[in-house]
Formats: sequence, structure tokens, C-alpha cells
Amino acid sequence: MRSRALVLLLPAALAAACATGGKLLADADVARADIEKARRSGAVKCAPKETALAESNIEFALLEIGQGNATRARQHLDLAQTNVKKALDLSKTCGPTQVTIRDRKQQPPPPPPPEKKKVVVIEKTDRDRDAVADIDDKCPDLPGKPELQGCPDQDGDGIADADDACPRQPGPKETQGCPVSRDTDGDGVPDDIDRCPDNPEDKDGFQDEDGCPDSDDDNDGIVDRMDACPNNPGPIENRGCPVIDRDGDGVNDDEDRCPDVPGKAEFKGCPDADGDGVPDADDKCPTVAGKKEFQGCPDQDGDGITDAEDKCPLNAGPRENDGCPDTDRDGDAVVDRLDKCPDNFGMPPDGCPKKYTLVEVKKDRIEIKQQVHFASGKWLVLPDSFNLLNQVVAVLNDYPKMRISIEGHTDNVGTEAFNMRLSQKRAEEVRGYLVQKGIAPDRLEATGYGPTRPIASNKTAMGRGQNRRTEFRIVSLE
Amino acid sequence: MRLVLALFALAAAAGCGPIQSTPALIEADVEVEAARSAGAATAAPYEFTSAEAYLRKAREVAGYAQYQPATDFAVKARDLAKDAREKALNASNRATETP
Repeated sequence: MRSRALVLLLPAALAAACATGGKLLADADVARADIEKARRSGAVKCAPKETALAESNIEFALLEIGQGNATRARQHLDLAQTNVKKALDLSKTCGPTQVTIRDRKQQPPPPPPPEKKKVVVIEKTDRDRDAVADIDDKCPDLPGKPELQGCPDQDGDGIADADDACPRQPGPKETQGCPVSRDTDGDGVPDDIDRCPDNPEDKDGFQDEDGCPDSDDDNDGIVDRMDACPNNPGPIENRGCPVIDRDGDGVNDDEDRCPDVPGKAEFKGCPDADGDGVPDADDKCPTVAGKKEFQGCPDQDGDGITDAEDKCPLNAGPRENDGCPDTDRDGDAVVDRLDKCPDNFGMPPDGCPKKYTLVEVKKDRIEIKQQVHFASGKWLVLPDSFNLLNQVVAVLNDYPKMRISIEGHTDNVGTEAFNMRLSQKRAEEVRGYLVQKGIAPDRLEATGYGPTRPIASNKTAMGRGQNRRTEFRIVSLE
Repeated sequence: MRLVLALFALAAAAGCGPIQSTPALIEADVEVEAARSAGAATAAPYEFTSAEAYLRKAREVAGYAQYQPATDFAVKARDLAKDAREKALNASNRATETP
């Protein structure tokens, strides 16, 4: 029973398969005919991909039909038919066009012979296949609308994309093709970008695009109409303008004589690097502290000569000696530089000593060349010593500032108390003589030393004679 | 013995398909890629699209063990790709020569 059924079904199945194969072959023939048609219309040039896919898929379909794969064959045929259709559509407007132009001189058309008619054949091309010939197409490589001379208009607002500020959003010409938005406050900033849609922008040139009024644009607390610099913040003291102090020294540039170098207010903003109170611009020694009278240069020894000119900058000295201190070897208060006798105590102006016969002025004393003679055991000056004392008076007159000490000495004969009193009396007697001769008393001192300062032995007569003496010691010259 | 020989012949015959089709596929693949590099997709779209389609189908049928059609399609794809490449190179040369 089952084998009989199989015997019946097998021919039926074979018949169905044959029928299906026949239909597929017929469809393949139709597709091939269409491809030929498309090729004649220039499809290889106008729709090369579609033509290629159509042709290849027909060949694949035929293979699959031959292999008995109806499903795959159908898929290939469908693909072939779809691409053939596209190729036909594209080649309709793509194929070469023939235009006949008659020669105007021959108008009205002359009678035959027709072979004399001039014919020019022009091939019109349309690269972007938008049905606008390239010669008339402003956008020959982009498909577009005829009314826009072949240029594209993606948002369809009638403005070609090239002229459309918003090519993907339709809008009127007034907004350059961009969509219109509401503007409640009428400030020209559409509500969708207006941060203050109900308050109109003040259009003062500051952030006008945000749609908000800016009454104090620089936020310095001074309203714009009162602000001399409405876009630059500044204190009210400066009428709202910024205080400019480029060097940051606290002196504003308009008052700063050195606006790019930090300085001190007392010098109008100019620097004083050495801090000597003389601004650098006026300071001859700007890096070393100095004195104003020397234009900022130093004088360490204070001799009135700047260190730069001073040969002895640490020891005061007169300018005549290049700032170095004068020496006075003989101590006569006449400096060696001016002293014609630098090693002999003298007197101004040449520093040379006066020639006295009985006395000689030494550095520390008035040396007498003979002794002052007194009455024996008494203090009365004997007349033979008057010449000597007169020469002492002369010395004191020659050195009017000289102060001396008159010192009386004795030997050791007798009691010490007696000798002390005797020497004192004798010294005072000499002082009295000098005062009597016109010497001021305050320049003279009188001291009796008795036997306490012997200069020779008291054991011999000669020694005791040397110890009995009067000395004139110089206390000061000034 | 006969059985062994028959089996050997059968195995050899079965193995010949892939031996032939595989190099053809490789060749076609190389040529298609060379054509693509030369700019054939735009300079010779008909030939290039055909070459791609034939190569794709060649691979597909090779997967179904249909080695002969696979080889045929691969050879066709190779030839089309060569044409496409030549056209692309010619177009490129013309563009270079044009002042």
C-alpha cells in the first residue's frame, strides 16, 4: 500500500519540480530581456552597479536552477529583477539625447535635397541624474530640484542647501532658512535662546546675545550710566574705571613716575634699591647706600670725600691729602704735609722752631739750657735767671694756646716736708714771675715734688745739683 | 585490492575540488582587493561590482562543496577585477596627465 502511494507521489513531485523549474527559467528569461533593454538605454554607464548585480544574479540563478536549488535560485532572481528595475529607471533619464539644430540661414527650410541639411549632434549629460542637464545644473554633481537649478534642498523649504543657514530645518527666507522662534520681549533674541525672555536685552554691546539687560556690565557696583568705564570694573573713587598699577607698588600709573618698576610712594613710585633715601634715578651709586649730599654715594670715614674719590675711605683725612689722615711726626700741630721741619717741634705756619738761646721747645717740654736760680734755702728767683724766664715767656707768647706745668724739685738734703714746701713755693714763684710778664694764669700750673723725683744720685754733690731743678712740662698745645 | 584502488580514486577525486578552487579564490580575492585599492569602485563600478558579486558567490558555493562552479566564478571574478583595476589605473593616469 505504501509503495503504491510512493509510486503515485513521485511523478507528482517530479511534475511539480519541473513546473517550478520552468517558472524560474521563464522569469530568468524575462529578467535577461529587461537587462538587454537597460543596456541599450545606457544602463552600464548610468546604473553600472545595478546592471552588474542584475547580470551576475541571473547567472547565479541559472546555476542554482541547474543544481535544483529552487529557493536560492528564487532569491537570486528576485535580486536580479530588483536591480534590473532600478537600472531601467536610472537609464531613462541618463541615456544620450539627440538634439537637432537647424542652420538659421536655411530658414525657412529649403527644399530637398535633404542630404544638404546641416546637423549638429550634442550629447547632453546629467552627471547627478537629477533630470537637470549639467549645462543648466548649478550643482552638477548633487541631485537637486529643477526649480533650484539642480541644487539640493534637504529640508524642502525652497532654499537651496548652499544658501540655507539651517539646511536640515525648514524656515523662511527672512531667517535664512532657519525656523522662526518666538521673541516675547521683542529684543531680537528668540525665546529659545533668550535667558531673559520677558526682559529685553539692553544692546549695550556687552553680552547682547544672551537676551538679558546688563545694567552693570562690569559688576563693579556702579550702574553703567554712572560708570565712566562700564565694561571694566573699577572703584567708585576712580569713577568706575580700573585702577591701573602695572608694577603693583601701590602707586597708580597716572601718578607713578616709574610705572613699570616697583618703587616707593615717597619717590613717586620710583625705586631706591640701596635704601639710602636717594631714588635710583638720582643716585650716582644706586646699589650702595650713601648720603644725599654726595648724590647717594657713601663716605664711610665721614671726611667729606666720597669713598670712590677717597684714597683712605676708612680713615678721615683732608681733601688735600686725598682723603687720607695727616701725620705730625714732631707733634707741633703743623701736619707733616705743611711742616717744613716735620721732625722738629715748631710753630705755624711752617712748623719750624724759633731760635731761642736759653730754651728749646720740645714735644713734651720747654727745655731750659740753664737752671733757674733761687736764693739759698728760699724761693726768691735770682735776677740772673730773668733772661731765662723771659725766654719762657716768649715761648708762651709764640704758642698762645700752650699750657704748661711748672714743676719744682729738690735734693734730699733736709726733711722731706721742708723740701716739698720749698719746691712748691719755688714753682709758684716762677709762675708768679710769668704771670707778672703777662701770661694768663690759667695756662700755668705750679707743682712742687720735693725730692720725690730725682734724676740723679743724691750721694754726690753733682747729682744733688742736678736734682735741684725747675722743669716746664707742656700740658697741651691746643 | 580493487576495492582499495576504487576507494583511493574516489578520495583523490573528492580532494581535487578544494585543491583547484582554493587558489582560484585566493587569486580572485587578491585581484579584487588590488582593484579596490586602485579606486575601481568609482572608476569602473560595473566591472568591480560584478567582480565582488562573483567572488562572494564563489565562496558561497565552495561552502556547499560545489567546487567547479566555485572555481569558475572565482576565475570570472579575478578577470573582472583585473579589468576594473586596469580601467581605474588608466583613469588615474588620464587625470594626472590633464593640466
